[in-house]
Amino acid sequence: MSDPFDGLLRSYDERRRAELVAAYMAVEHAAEPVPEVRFAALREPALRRTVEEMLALGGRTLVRHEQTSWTSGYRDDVAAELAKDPECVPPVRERAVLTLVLIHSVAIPRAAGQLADDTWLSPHPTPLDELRRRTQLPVGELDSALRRLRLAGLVSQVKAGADDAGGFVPGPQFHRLTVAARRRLQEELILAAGPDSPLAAAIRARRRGREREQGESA
Amino acid sequence: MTAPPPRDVSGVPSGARHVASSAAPRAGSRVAPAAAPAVDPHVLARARARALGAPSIPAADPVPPGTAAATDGARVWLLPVWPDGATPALLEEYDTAPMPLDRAGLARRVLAAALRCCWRRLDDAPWPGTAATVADVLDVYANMTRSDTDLARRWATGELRRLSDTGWLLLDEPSGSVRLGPRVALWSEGSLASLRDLLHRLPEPPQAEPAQPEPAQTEPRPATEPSGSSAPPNDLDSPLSSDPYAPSASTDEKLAPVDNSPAARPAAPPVGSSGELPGTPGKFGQDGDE
Repeated sequence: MSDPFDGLLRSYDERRRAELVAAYMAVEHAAEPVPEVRFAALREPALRRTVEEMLALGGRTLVRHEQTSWTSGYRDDVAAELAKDPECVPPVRERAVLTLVLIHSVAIPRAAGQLADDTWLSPHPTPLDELRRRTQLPVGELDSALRRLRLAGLVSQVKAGADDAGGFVPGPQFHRLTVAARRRLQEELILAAGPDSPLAAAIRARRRGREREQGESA
Repeated sequence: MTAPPPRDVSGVPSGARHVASSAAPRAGSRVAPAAAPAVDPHVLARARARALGAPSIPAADPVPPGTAAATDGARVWLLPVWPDGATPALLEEYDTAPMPLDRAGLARRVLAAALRCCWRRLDDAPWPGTAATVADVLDVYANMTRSDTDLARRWATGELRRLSDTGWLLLDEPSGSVRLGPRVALWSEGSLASLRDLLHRLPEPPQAEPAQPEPAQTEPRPATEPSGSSAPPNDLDSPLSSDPYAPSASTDEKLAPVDNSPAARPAAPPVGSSGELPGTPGKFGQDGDE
């Protein structure tokens, strides 16, 4: 079977090629964004473009993190297509549990000014009790939803410490959201947490407008 | 395809990677005009395979270009192709942490026990291997760790389920049988020598007829029906703070939150989206889970 990457890599000498492969594997498989100082192919714009092209073969793209670190995520158009495929969308229970974690660990602390605006990682765990109470899921189902969310890197468990009960926070996959994906998620969370708020009304109005535009241009 | 069968949750792990879209499925596509399905179908097929983990398709279906295929004759599992034969183990050279894994030591030992039972002809490649009973795997695990308690078996059973969720094993709980998962087909021949050495040193599985394809029919050994190898035992491996292994297990098994330090896990665990070997031989069979 032919190596799909070969077309992109062929023109590089051995050293560059190895650097490109290392950068590609790092952004695709590391848990956290990787610092560009450690990966020449992320540091140099020309090489970085090639990494981007390698990722694009699989519908992925580079996502920058805090100026000098990089990870990868699905391109927005690809994510939209995948979301239309029921098999690619996690089951409703997992989404429900994840939403609760996002509300407790991100939305509420952010509203209280304890969390920066554009992050989906959080040091504020959602207690298991809270999940038990709010999901209304049988314990077994909640546990298996949490198991799969953790395997997916969508939530992480924080152990109980001296003065808190521990619980769950959004997992490392949240580094992989593109700018547009982070904005969409933010909007969805507003719609979920405050459906009657003026902000939610504004989001709905903007979306209606966008749909109309698309309808006309199509 | 059909609605996801109960065991075929392999999709969920990495599927969740497109979290934005799954959390906001109705957000609509922002850029693309509605009429233009702009995404190259091959690109989409590869993205989909990644999102689903290691999805399987009927053997007659075409394999999308740019994916690797592992087949057992009846079905084909789609696996990633990495450039220049690299594997995620490359991260080690760069001191970069892979996806964290809870109870990595337990996962390695249970996978080792499954390999011992399902990879019977060590001169061959591990994939596709043969089916074994969950009972045998648990027996080997108990002999490896020299701790044959009910609790140990329950934790091992939960781990089997996790390894199945991530495509390292194919677990059929109703019939009590287990096979190696398609991801083991990603192990390159060159990396198998130490694994073979290691497996030679592990306790042998109980000698039933090893070639029996449907081990499910044999009645399960009494000792191995611990509360729930096939029951709805979602509570067995609940990720709760009461995890009895976590406190005493080896250091790389800590329930690391997001910020685990790179040095903490030198031998990447065999779960998640990576296709690495399951850790260094020395990590197996140690008595870390007493």
